[in-house]
Amino acid sequence: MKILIGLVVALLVGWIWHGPLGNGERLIGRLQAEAEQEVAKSELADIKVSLSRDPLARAATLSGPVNALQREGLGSQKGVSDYVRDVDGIGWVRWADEPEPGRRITPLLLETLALAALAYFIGLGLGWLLWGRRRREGFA
Amino acid sequence: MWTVAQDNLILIVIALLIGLAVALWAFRRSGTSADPSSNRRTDGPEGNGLQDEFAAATQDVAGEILGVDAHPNIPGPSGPPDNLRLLKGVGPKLAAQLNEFGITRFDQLAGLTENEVALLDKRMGAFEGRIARDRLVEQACYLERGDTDGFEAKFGKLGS
Repeated sequence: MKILIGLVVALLVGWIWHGPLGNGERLIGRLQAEAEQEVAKSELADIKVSLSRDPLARAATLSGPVNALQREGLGSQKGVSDYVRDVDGIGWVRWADEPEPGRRITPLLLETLALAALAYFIGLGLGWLLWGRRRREGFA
Repeated sequence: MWTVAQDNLILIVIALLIGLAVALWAFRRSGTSADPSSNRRTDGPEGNGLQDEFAAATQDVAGEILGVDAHPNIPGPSGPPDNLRLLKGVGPKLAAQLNEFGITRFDQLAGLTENEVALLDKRMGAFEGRIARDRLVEQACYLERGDTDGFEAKFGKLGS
């Protein structure tokens, strides 16, 4: 029960951190700015990049009048998609006029909560090592 | 994911600390309270709280510096002596040593608080550390209650 209460508290802190404190929005905003900088490197006009806001996710959607070669590149020649994929932190890239990808996009909130839960259990494990281990039975 | 982790470093530290705090809350006390032998007195005149422990520690240090007995509260015998040598790890010399300190019965041993054990231990000379190592208080808890089955399940056959 105590462990469950602790988990709920950790998840609550994760949600507050992500939503009300605005860290999720800040991360997505930063990734979008970096993605726009990378797209500019392709020197192709009218290409727009937007990151998922509803829900917040590290998924970039590209749009603009470019052909398949410009989109995906060829050999060592990078396409626009490659530039965006190179942004550290962006997990999914797709074009707006292409069908939705088969695999589901993970919302950033879920990733944040998973991190909070993982860190909580690591802390719990460390605590168990420090205070919870049963001492060896000396006479059994 | 790594970027998310880097961006949420403060959150990770907070969650880690929550985990540690819950572990302290869940494991530290429950480790003793879950034990069937834990009906022994653990607070006695000093209590278990942080303030009580701090006060007891201060008393111990002051007592040592002043060279006086800061803990005269080891309970006296309430009846005829028990055979302390039934306790695993207690031989004639250790039993005699305990008798010297006025401990002749299982209930006296079982009733010792952690502070009292620590104080007693400092005076045990060659047997220092034996009360904790051989878990004499825990053993005494069983024998005080006459719970030989519980004792034997945990510490082995009685009197062997």
